Amino acid sequence: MLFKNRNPEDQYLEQAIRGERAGLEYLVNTYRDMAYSIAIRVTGNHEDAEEVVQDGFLKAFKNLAEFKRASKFSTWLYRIIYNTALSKASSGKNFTMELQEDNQYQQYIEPNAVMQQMAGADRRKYLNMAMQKLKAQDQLILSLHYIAEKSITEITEILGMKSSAIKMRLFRSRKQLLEELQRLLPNEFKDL
Amino acid sequence: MKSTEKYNDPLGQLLREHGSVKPDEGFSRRLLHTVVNSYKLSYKTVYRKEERMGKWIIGVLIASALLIFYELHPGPAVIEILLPVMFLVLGLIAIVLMLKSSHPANPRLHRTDFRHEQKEIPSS
Repeated sequence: MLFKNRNPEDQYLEQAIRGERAGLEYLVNTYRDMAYSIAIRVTGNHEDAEEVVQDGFLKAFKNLAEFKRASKFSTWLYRIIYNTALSKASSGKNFTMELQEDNQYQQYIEPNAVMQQMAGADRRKYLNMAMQKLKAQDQLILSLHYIAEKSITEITEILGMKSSAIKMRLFRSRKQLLEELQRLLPNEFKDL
Repeated sequence: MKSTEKYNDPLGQLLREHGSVKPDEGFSRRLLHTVVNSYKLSYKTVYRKEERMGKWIIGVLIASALLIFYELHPGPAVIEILLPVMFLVLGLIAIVLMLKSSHPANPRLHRTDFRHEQKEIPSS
């Protein structure tokens, strides 16, 4: 074949490098939510997370022309976001993992009273509660692996850890999350 | 964990459906606005081909000018003036290149990890 089929993301990347709004808009809208998830899991509050996401995106776009595509754009971006969040967390207060919006759910909820018909919003709430029991990096690894659909190698690149450590943490955090969910919602999650 | 396992895993499905934390609409709009407005076009990258072509044209023009100059058989007095001027120009070019390499246009960004050690921004 004379011309290779190009990844549509490459076209958006080139548009973004040329400063075209469509490319910039695509990249921001596609990766904003996961970037925010990473930032909030490291910084622990919405204000800092928003600042981190904005700084991270600005840094990434400032260096966009230098991006050599050795890895996916998302992997490169998430690494910048993660590093920016770490700087923010270390420059400010303690590295905390509580999400402000979920503080209202911190008190223990009687599992048997909750569970018969759980809607999507409730699932989100209990999942967040269970996630908060995990360590910051474990939450990040789970999010990157399951939500951002990153491979072990890509997570290694983003977090700067060894792949054996990532695998071990993924296994351990998955197990711990299941235990937390089963403790909170024994009927709902008994099959997991 | 294999990718097929990841997609069939009920916990993975639960996390994909309900595990992401989303920013509010207002922030999303502000972020897009800030990124689009603060993006500075890198002309060096956009016009890389044109820059290479321009250098080549300048090279050809200088070579032609020198050839014409040679064909005109300049006297020794002209060469005495021309040589110092050429060295001066070459020296200035060398200084400019040295200054450029010591102060890159895009300074590398620094980051800190859990152990607070300084690391550079990922190259790609």
